[in-house]
Amino acid sequence: MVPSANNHTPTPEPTGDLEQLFRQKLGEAEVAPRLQLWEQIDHELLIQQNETYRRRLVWHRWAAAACILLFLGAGSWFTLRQAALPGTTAEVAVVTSPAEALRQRTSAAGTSLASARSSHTATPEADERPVAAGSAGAANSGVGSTSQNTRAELASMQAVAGTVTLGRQDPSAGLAASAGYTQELDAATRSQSLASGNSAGAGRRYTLPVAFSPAASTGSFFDRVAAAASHSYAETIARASSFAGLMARNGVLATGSGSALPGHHPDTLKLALPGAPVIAQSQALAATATAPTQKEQPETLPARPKRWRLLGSYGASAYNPNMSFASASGAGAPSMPQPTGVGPSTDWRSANTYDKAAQEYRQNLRPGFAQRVALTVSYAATMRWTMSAGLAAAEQRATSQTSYYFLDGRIASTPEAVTSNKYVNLAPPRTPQLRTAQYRYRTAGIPVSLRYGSAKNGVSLYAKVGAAVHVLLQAHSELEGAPEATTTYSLTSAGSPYRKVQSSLNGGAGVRYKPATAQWSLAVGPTAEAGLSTLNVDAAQSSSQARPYAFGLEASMEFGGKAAAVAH
Amino acid sequence: MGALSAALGNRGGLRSLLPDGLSATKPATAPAPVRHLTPPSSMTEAEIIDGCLAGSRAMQKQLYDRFAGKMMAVCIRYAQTTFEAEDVLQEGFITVFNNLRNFRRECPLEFWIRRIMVNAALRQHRRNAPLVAVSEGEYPEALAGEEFTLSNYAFEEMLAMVQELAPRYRMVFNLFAIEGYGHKEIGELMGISEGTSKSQYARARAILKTKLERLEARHAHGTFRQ
Repeated sequence: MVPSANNHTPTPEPTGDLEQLFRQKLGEAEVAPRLQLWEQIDHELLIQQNETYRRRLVWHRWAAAACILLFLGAGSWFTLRQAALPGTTAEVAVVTSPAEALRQRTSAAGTSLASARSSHTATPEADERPVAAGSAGAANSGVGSTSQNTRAELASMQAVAGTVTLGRQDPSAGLAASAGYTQELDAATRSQSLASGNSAGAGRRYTLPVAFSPAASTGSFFDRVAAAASHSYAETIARASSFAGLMARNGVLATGSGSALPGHHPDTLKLALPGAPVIAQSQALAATATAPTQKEQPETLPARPKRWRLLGSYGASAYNPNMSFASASGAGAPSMPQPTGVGPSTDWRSANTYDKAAQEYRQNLRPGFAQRVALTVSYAATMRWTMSAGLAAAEQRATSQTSYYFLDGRIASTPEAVTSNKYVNLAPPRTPQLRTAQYRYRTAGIPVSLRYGSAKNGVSLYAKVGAAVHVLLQAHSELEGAPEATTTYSLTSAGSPYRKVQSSLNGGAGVRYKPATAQWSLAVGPTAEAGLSTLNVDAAQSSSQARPYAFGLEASMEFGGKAAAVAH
Repeated sequence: MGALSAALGNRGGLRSLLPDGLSATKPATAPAPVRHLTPPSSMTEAEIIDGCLAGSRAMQKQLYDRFAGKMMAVCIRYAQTTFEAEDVLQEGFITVFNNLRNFRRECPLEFWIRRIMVNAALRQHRRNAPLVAVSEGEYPEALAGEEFTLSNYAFEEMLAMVQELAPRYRMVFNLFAIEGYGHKEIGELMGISEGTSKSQYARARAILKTKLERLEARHAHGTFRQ
C-alpha cells in the first residue's frame, strides 16, 4: 500500500478565457426587478383579456343581429307568401311598377267618376245591369281560382275581365256589384259598378296575359312576385273603386265636380270604354258568365312541393358547461399581492384556496341531461337545400362536487365555510367532504340552420349545420346539504357570473322518413353543439377549451312538405 | 477553451446547456454563485405550465416569480439602463403568457423563456437603434488567447463593462459569447452580414479585454487609476 504523498501545493484558482469569464459571471446571474413590475404585467394581461372579451362581444352582437334579421326576413317572406297563396292568387299577372300603382291610385277615382258620368249618359241602364250582374256572379262563384285555363280566359277577356277579378279580390267591389241588383241607389250603383269596370280597364293597360308569361306555367319565383304584385295592384284599384262609389253616394257627381274629371285622363277612359259597339261588350259579358262552369273541371298538373314548412323538434343530449373559474380576475378570486415575507401571506393562501376549489370543481364537473324544443319555419331553397329559422327553448343540467362550498365561481358564504373575514381565511375542512353541486340552466334562443338532404318520399339521409344565439333566462345552483347556498340568477340579476347572451354552432345528420302521401316527415339523428363563448363571464383568458358543448339525439317533425297538387 | 474556438467554432454558450445533447461541452469551471431571489416553490414546472394554460393568474405569478430574476439578468445585459431592461422584461413575459400554449416542452422552460427575452431585447434594439449601414470591416481570424482568474471579477463590474459597449457591439457580444449563437444566426437576427457580426464581435472583445486588463491591474496594485 503506497501512502499518498502530501501535496502542499495550493489549489490553483480557476481561470478561463474572456468568453468563459463573462458567461460565468453574467450568464447565470439573477437580478431582482422592481417589485411593481408584476403589477404592470398583471394590468397589461387584464387589458388584453378585456380586449379579447370586447372583440367577442362585438362578434356576438353581429351574430345576434344577423339571426334576428334572418328571422324577420324569413317571417316577412312567409307572410307575403301566405298572402299570395291560391285563395288569393291573381288570375291576371300584372306587371306594374310602384310609380304606376301610385298613379293608378290617384287617378282611379277620377277615372271612375268620369266613366260613370259618361256611361250614365251614353248607355241605357239596361246595358249596365248585366255588367253588375256579371261582376256579382263572378264574385260569388269565385271565378278567380288557380286554374290556368281560367287565367288564360280571363286574360283574353275584354274590359269586363278586370271587373271579375276585382269583384273576386275585393269584397267591397263585390258588394258594390251586388248593390246593382238592389237598385236602391241607382246613381250610386251605376257609378260604382262602372267604376270597377273602368278601373279594371285602366288596369288592363298594364295587363300581361298569363299565357305570354314564361314563368307562369312553371310556377317560379317570377310567378309568385307577379301574383303578389297583381294582388296589391288590384287591391289598389278596388279601393279606388270603393272610394268612387262612396263619392257617388255622397252626391259628388250631383254637384257636377265629376264633369271636369274626364279631361284629366282621357286615355284611361278610352281604354275603359272603347269605341266598340255595345254588342261586343255584351259578348264579352256572356263569356264572363260562362267562365265559372269551365272552371269546375280543373286539370291537375305535375305537383310542385311546398317550399314553406313548419318544423318542430326535440333534442336530448349530454351537456357539459365546461367552465373554468381558475382566474384571479374572477369575481370570487382575490387579487394577488406581492409576497412580502418569507412565508406566504394570508391573501396568498386565500388565492391558493380559491384556485384549489376551482380546480376541484373542474375536475369533478360532470355532464348532465339537456333537452331542447324548437319550432322553426323552413324554406326549401332548392330540392336539397333547406334553410330554417325559429325559436328554441332549452334546459341544461350539470353536476360537480366540491369540498370548499364552491358554487358558481364563488365560495358560498356558509357558516361552516366562512370564519371571520369572508373567505380570506378560509381553509378546506379538516376532513374533506365532497358535496354535490347541481346546476341547471334555462335558455331561449333563435336557431338558424341549413340542411342538405333528399326531398324524395320514403327514407333518406340528411345533414345540417347551424348556429344559434341564446339568452340565459335562469341559472339555478344547489349545493347538497347546504340549502342556504342555493342560488338563482335570472336575466336581470346583477352580478351574475354567467354570460347572458351566448352563441353556439351545431351540426347533425340523420335519417328522414316521409310517407308517400303524407304532408309530414320525421327525422331522427345525432347532433353536436359547441358554444362559441364560455358560459361564465370571467373565464380564463387562455381557456380555449372551456366552452360548453353537448352531444345527443334530435327528433324533428316537419309539416307542409307535401307536394301541392296545383290545378291549372 | 481557446479564444479562437470561441470565435469560429462552437462557443459553449448557454445554449450548450440544452439537455438534448446539442453540445457535449460543459463549463469547465464551477458555476458562479447564484443569488436566489425567490423562495423555491414546491410546484413542478409542468404544474405551473398547466396552471397558466388554465388561465390561473396565480400560476402566472408563480412562473414570473420563478424566472423573473434570471430573465432580468438577461435583459439588463442587452439594455443600457435598468428601466429599459424592465421594459424588455415586461414585454417578454407578456409574450410568454400569450404564447405558452405553443411551448412543446421539448426543452426546459427556462431556455424557451430566455429565447423570448432575447428576441424582445432585439426588438427593443431595433426600435431604438437607427438603421446605420455598417461596413464589414476587418476582423482577425485568430483572436489571442488569454487567461483571466474568474474569481477576481464581480458581477457588477462586468455588467458595467458590457453596458458601456456600443449597442451593436453589446448585442453581438451577448448573442455570441453568452447565449452561444453563431455569427450566421446573429447576422440573420440583426439583419447584418456574418462578416459584420464577426468584426463587431472582435471589436467588442478587444474593448472588453482592455477593460479587463485595466481592472486586473488595479486589483493587482490595489490602486484605482483611470
